Amino acid sequence: MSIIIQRLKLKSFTKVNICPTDAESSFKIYTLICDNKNTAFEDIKNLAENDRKSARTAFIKLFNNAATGQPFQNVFDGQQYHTGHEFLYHESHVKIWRLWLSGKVRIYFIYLPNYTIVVLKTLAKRKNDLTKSEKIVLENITKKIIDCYKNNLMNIIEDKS
Amino acid sequence: MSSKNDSAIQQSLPSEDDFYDLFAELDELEPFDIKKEELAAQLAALLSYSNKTRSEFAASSGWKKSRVTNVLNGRGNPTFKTMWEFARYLGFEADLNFRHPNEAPAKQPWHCIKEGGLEYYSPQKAQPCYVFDLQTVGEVARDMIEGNHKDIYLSFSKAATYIPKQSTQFEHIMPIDLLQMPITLVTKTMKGEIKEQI
Repeated sequence: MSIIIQRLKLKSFTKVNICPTDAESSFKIYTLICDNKNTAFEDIKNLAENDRKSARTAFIKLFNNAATGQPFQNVFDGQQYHTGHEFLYHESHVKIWRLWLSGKVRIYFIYLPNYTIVVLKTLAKRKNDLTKSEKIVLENITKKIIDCYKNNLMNIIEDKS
Repeated sequence: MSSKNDSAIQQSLPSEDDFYDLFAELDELEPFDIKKEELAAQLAALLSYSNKTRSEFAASSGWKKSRVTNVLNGRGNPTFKTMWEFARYLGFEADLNFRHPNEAPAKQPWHCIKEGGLEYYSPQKAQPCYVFDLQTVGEVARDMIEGNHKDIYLSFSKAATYIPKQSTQFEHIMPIDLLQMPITLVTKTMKGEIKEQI
């Protein structure tokens, strides 16, 4: 079964015509499409108003820093960016990264080759640790992405036409 | 990875307007709020590009670590002096450039481009930047005879422990172990060769 990822851009989060310059090595941010739904959109839609505000700020920070192409461990501090969850899959350690850039909102994502970042979940968390069920959800999404990537079953939507 | 042009799926996906509606109830963002985040990200990128951590920067500049964190996290409204000092401590200059909104912003030092298999930085960058090939004496002599000589040659003593790869890039900040080596800068003209000790 294939999966679809859709490019997320700063202009979706603000109507202001200010966009960071993309370098050749800029990270490109994608989100997963599940059941014809954009998961980042659905996650943000389900947040409370205050958390939605934090999510907007967090994504604006993410886009701007991703555009520079600099490694996240250099541009963010250890509190903002670290491994959110780690598990073994096909005999390799898979890392799910966590960004905490504003309020209570945490963005969980994985890296794929070619400066590709796939946002898995956007959660408003009052506690730092993930619950068991949150870990399972993240693991399952990640496994699906890895399998589809390896088998060339990943479809990309760069821009909604 | 392949591209999907399934219009049915695309139609069902949220548009930019749908996304924007998510935030419609929230306070409108001022354009400067977004610009400020971009500036903060660029300062963080400059720090990363300079191979320095926040702690190292704080220690060398005398800034409090909280000040570094605030500036890099886009908190407050840093003055141009703050940004200029930040750049200067990292060995860079900060300018104020103006452009038409439709024009691309000026390249930053970390906006590298790749050409001919060599990675180098945009000639638009203000800092001088050279890409050197590692050559034997024989290869240099051959290039000289054939008129294919380079603009600048750096000769390394045999005792040098620094072994560059096939080509290496020297920026205005040279690797420490390179600076400690006896280096002779040789200009391209072999006739009346000018030698200068660095």
